[in-house]
Amino acid sequence: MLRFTLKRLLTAVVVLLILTLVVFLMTRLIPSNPAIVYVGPKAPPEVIARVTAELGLDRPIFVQYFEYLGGLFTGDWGNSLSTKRPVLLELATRLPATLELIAAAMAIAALGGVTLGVLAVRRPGRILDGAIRFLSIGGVSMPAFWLGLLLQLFFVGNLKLLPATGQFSNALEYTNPITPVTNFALFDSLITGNWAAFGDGLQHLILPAITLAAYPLGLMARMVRSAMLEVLGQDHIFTARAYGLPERVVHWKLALKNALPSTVTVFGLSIAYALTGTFFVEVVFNWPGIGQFITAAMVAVDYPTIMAVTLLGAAAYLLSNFVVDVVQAKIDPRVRIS
Amino acid sequence: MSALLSVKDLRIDFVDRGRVTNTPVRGIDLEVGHGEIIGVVGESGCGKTLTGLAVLGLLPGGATATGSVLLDGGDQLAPNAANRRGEDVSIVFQNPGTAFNPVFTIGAQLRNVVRRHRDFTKREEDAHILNYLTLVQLPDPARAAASYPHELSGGMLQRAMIAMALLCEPKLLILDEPTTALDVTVAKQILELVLDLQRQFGFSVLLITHNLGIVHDICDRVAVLYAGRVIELGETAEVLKSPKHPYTQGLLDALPGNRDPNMPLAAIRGTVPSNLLGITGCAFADRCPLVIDECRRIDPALLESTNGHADACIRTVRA
Repeated sequence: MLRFTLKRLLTAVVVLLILTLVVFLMTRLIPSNPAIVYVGPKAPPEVIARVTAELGLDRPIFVQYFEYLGGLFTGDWGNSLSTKRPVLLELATRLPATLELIAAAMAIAALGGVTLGVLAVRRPGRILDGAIRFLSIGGVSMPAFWLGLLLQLFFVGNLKLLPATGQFSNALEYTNPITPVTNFALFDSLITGNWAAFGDGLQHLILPAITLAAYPLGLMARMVRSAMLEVLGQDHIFTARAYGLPERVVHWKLALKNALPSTVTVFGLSIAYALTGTFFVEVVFNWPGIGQFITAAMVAVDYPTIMAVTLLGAAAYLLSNFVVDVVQAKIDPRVRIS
Repeated sequence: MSALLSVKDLRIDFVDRGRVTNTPVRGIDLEVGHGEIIGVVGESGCGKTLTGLAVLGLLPGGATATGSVLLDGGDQLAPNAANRRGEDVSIVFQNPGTAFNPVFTIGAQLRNVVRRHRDFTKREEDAHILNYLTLVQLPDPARAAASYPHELSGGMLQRAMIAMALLCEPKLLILDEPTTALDVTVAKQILELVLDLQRQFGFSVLLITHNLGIVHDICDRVAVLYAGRVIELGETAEVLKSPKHPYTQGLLDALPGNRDPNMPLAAIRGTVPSNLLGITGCAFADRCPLVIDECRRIDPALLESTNGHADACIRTVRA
């Protein structure tokens, strides 16, 4: 198991290194001069030449690459061309809010998806199965921004139950300010025992988290359902029934563990997918995450930011795939052999 | 003394949207005494596995059973039969490779069964499981308990399966072709193990097989099934030595050992009818070498001729 884990980890690191090269080349190949973006289109040629030298764009491309690579390790990810501040700093202030949102959404998706998927196969083709199918296909096919608006309309506009936008109420800054520990605001409010802020943050989190969770939840429910149906037809399930084990145990304990490996794959992919899916949700709910910052950076050809975000996204993909591999091997011993 | 298992007029219908589509078991009567080993033989599709499942109280979806199956007084066709499965009656399947769940250890799967039927502490469970894995002569019981199914051989898995079957001291053990998936030497060891354990614990055995050699080796009595009926029943030695029904005779003739090695094997011509709806007369008539006109009109009943030896052929001369 340890050997397996280390092998997968090494693969992930190698892929990440190759990715840095791809990301670097991509930004050099797009038909846009970063120096002009930096100083503006109307700058005189001598200024452009000076900035080109300052940014190191006049040096051989492989030298630029190794400088970029060195910077990645020393924490110098370049300055944003739009805000002129270090990219890493810009991301670090916004990423925690995004990650909290994604974590909440994926928790909802995993718990909800598995529960609905298992419930659906209790009596396939009956009312409950149909209702769950309706819900999961709805979740998969409804655009996030539209679902977000509908939820706002209903829970905020009609029921007046939850706040519409933002991560915390504005007044909180004066009444119960959060002491930053990890910069994950909601988590910090929890560990510092700031219950007023924690409760307020949870209320703000519910709607955007549900919106972001809708797609992976629907996907998970469908995946769990079909995997469960397949497993329930296998000999060993018949054995379990032949030994009098109750259906509750057969479904929730035995069949579910067989069905999980394929589901975990989908779950891992949808975590990485959520990283981009969150952009829309953050716009609709005015969430102080990386979404709006990145969207602006793309339009502005802010290449250090684009590179950083691409790399981050790829790293998230690799990380979730790595975790998926390890979890799969943990669940199914036969995976460890190959 | 009353029998441990008493099957009376068991019929199994497959029903699809209210219509009966097939009746693979058409009125089986069978009794198994305490400590008796009975063989149920027949070709594929004669209803022997379905009969075994009905005795277990677990029919596949779409199948409904009528008649009665009483196991030590308990109705196996009643919904509460699940409480007796794995406890009063348990089963060993044909393919040990797929009968165990691949993502749980053997020990964990045995523990599930113990937990279902016994109120043990975790330590008692461990000791109980280890005890039974030792009993089935697994070379390293502790290691077997910690192994996943793919880490053990077919023979070892079948031993573990037998251990699982005996965990709650069943009164009846159903063996559904227990050695078909194993090679000959391993099969022999498994059968010897079953015989050994049977002498030790005294449970009854319902052995489902198409192998008359195995029946000869271990069974006290044998029931020959054809097209969902018992067509011959009696002491093993008696039935194998002087079969009454032409089908039984055909099965015996088809064994390689009973023929001149230079002659081709005698097969029973034709095949088992795939659907048994609307059969009149004897179901074997179309394949029978001794068929007469009456066979197609009269539905033969299972009748005793000599002491305990019964058959369902109208041509048998009865005293």
